[in-house]
Amino acid sequence: MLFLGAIGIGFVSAIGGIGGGSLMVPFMVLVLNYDVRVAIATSLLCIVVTSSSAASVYLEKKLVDLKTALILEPTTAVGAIAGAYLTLNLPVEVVKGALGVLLLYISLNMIRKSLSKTTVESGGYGKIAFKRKIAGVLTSFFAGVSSGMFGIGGGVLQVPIMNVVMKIPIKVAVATSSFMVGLTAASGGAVYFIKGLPDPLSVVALASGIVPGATLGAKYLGRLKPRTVKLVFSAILLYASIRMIQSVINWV
Amino acid sequence: MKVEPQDILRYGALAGLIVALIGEIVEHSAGLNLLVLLGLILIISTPIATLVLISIVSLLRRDYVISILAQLSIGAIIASIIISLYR
Repeated sequence: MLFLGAIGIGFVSAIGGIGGGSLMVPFMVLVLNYDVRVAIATSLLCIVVTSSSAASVYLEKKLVDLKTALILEPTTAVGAIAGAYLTLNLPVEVVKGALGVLLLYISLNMIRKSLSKTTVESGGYGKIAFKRKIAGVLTSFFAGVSSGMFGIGGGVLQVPIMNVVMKIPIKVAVATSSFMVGLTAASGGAVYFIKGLPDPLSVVALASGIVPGATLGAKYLGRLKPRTVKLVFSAILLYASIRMIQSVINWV
Repeated sequence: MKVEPQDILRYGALAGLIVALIGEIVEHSAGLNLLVLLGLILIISTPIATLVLISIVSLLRRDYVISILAQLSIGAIIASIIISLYR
C-alpha cells in the first residue's frame, strides 16, 4: 500500500513540481495510521534518497550556487536538528497540529501561485549584499526547523528565502535548494535514526515507489496541465491540514 | 578512477537503499539487522560524505572559500547532532 501510494506521490510531485515530503507524512499518518514521529523520520530518510539523484544532476551541470548553499547550510542543518529535537519532545498532537498549519500554508500558497500569472526571470545575478546574506542565514534556520520537525525537505521555504530575501534567480534557487534538501534531511534524519525511529522497510518502499512514479510523471508532463495538478494537490493538502488541526483541537 | 561529489550523491544513497532492502530480507530469514542499520547509515551519511569530498576537491583546486565553508557545514552538523543527543 505504501509502495503504491509512493508511486502516486512521485507522479504528482513530478507533474506539479512539488516536493513529495509534504504528501508523504500526511499519507502515512492519516491513511496508513503511522505514528507521526515514525512517519516524519521515515520521510526524511526517503527524501535523502530521492533528492540525491536530482541534486547530483544539478551539481554536475554546475547549476548549484555552492557558495550560497554552504553559507546557508550550517544554520539550516542546525534548524533541522532542533526541529527533530522538538518533535521528539513535544506531545504528538501538538506536532500534528503544527504540521497541519504548515500544510495549510503550503496549500494556500500553491493555490495563490496557480491562480496568478507567472513571470519568467531572466539574466544572472551579481554579488549578494551582506545584509541579504545575513537575512538568508537567519531565515534558513526556520526552513531547517520545518524540515526536521515535519519530515519535509524544506525547499518550500528555502526557495522563497533564496529568491525573495537573497534575490537569487528562481532556477538557481531551485537547484541550490535541491542540493541543500538532502543535507538538511540527513541532519534531521540522523537524530531520529539514533533514537531508532525510521522504519527501514517503509523507507525502502517509499523510495522505491517515488522514483518510478516521478519518472512516469515526467513522461506525462506534457499531457496534464501542471496548474490543474497543483490545484488538486492543494485541495488534498488542505483536507489533510484540516484533519491534522482538528486532532489537536480535539486533544485540547 | 576519479570520483566527483555528484557521484557520491547519485550512488551513495541508492547503495544505502539497496543494502537496507537486502538487510530486511536477511533479517527476516536470519534475525540479524546489521545490514539494515548499515543501509540506513549509508543513506544518512551520503550527503555528508559529498560535503567532505567537496571540501577536499575545492582545497586541491585552491578554492579555499568553498573548502572552508564545507568544513564549517560538516562541523556544524556533527556538533549539533552530538549536542542534541546529550540533551
